[in-house]
Amino acid sequence: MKGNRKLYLAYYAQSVAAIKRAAASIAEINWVCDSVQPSPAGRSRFPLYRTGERVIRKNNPIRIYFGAEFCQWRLPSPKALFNALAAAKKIGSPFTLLTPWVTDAGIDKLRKLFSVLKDEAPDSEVVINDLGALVLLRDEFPGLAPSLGRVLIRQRRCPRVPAMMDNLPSEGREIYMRTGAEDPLSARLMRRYGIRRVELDYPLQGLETDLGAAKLKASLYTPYAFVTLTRHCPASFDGRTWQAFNRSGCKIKGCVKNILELRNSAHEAPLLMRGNAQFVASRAASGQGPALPDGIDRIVFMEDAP
Amino acid sequence: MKILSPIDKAEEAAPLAEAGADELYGGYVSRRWAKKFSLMGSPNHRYFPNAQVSALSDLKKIIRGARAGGARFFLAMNAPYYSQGQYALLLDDADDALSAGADAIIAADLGLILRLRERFPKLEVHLSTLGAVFNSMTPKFFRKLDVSRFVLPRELTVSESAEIIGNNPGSSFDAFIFIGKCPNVESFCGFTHNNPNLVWPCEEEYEIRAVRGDDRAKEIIEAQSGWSRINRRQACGLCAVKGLLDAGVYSLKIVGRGGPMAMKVGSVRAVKDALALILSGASEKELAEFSRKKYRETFGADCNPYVCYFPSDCNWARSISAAPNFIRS
Repeated sequence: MKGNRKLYLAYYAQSVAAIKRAAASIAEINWVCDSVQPSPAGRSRFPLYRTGERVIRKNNPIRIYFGAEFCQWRLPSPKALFNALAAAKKIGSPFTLLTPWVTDAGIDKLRKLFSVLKDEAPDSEVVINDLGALVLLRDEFPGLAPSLGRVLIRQRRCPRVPAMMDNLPSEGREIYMRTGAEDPLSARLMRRYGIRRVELDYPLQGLETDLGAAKLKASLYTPYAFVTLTRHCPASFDGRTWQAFNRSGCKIKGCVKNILELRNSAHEAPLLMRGNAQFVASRAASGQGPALPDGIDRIVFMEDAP
Repeated sequence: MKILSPIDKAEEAAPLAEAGADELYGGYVSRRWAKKFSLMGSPNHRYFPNAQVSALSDLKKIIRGARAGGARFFLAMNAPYYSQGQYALLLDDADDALSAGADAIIAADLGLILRLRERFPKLEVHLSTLGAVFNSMTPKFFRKLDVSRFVLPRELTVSESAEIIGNNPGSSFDAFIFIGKCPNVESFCGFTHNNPNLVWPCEEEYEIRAVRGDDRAKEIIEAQSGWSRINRRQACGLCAVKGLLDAGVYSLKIVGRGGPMAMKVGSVRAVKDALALILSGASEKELAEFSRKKYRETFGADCNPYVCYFPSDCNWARSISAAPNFIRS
């Protein structure tokens, strides 16, 4: 689809300060969107798709994504969430809380955060990356709108995939191009849990998802596609074990200050590792991608590897 | 407490049962499936031929062999997801396996579980480790689909496992115990596992540099590099057998589909011996000594945190420096 698609924008803020800075960033995104053209190299940190699709910005404030998708120890405190909500409100942005996969200790943390959300911004979205968290949300916070996160939505995101696509039979290719979100039977069950939206990546080999039968809307993250995550977080390794396993939390601070690049000649692109998760920079984000699949109505921009 | 072992060939059934396996699991890629989707579209999350039963007649022999040895057989159909075009064939292959006597199907994909429920209402469905049961709430989601047996993820501590099991009476839980640790969380991992050398992206060598870092960058790089210096297949959790028994784990799961028969049989014996030791009244210290000796005998090296299934539970691992100076064997 080209031309008249409505694409809404979201900004992936990695701190309360980032939300406060968002006004300037949003102005930059605005420039890209209003130009309806690929951004000139070096002109913008937010290269947009080259499809010429119309991006809705006027009267639709950019949504703020905030929280943690990959590690429960990176979840904000209730106070930080409160501050983030206040900062988003100040710039008139709707709010989406990102949540990760969780142990029982993480369920306790989520319950506190959902309470803040329910009290302070009951029309917020919650990106869910754990089915136990989805049960918690439906049972105890039914007013909050869940979206299935990209950790739970299965996609083949490995940087080795592009090199093997030519060796696959046509019907075998499909599994590598599509997502686990499209099945109408699963989507029907998920609707009972309030799921109307899914969060997707644009893998290096491309994306041909069709969410029509599942009656789902989708957000597409750019430019960093999630590849894998670990509980053996190298930043939490203390020489004997990994503190990420501690029930009381990881005491090693500053894991996100380090971003590693992992290069291997067999991979189409290097992996980037921050904290416990690995990513590849999506080709679509460089302005080389084809038109976006139907069902995608939101672009989530990341300034940095999350 | 049961012992659940992988099986790939009919001739493995008798030795595995004799060694102490109560339950067996394996993967089957029918010829019609392979022709249409290739092994890269595997229905069971293993993408190399040694880990697959490729003929229905062989699958029948495996199931007969399991029965003869008093063991049950579970068919793994645990790809993370399927395309719409795969479901019909998947159900036909499940039908063949169940007609041949398979006792249960291990599944991960919600679409498959829903379809299995429709077509085989009384089927015993186990949730694969890809189902990501990391907390006590997740089984409640799947219990509504009549799934009552769960393979716990590799990344839970013994006490976290106990908490989940205790909060879900009426369900059964399997815990990994031997062979095949994953550096990453298998449930959420997007890496492909099809390298003909059987070295996966999580364990291959990388040129690693910090594109942004502080004074910890060097040690973080060192910690991550450790995975390419060890053999993650040589994984062990024998020291935790008592803890897992006390936690209420139903079955101890051994990894290793596609591995040699001797390794499978040796693994079952090791787990059986550890269990027998604890049931005879041995202390945890005695179990730990036995486990380390068994590890050395089996793999020719000392265990270390990278190959330990329960690194944060292990007092011994805490007492040593990891010094990841391991050599792939």
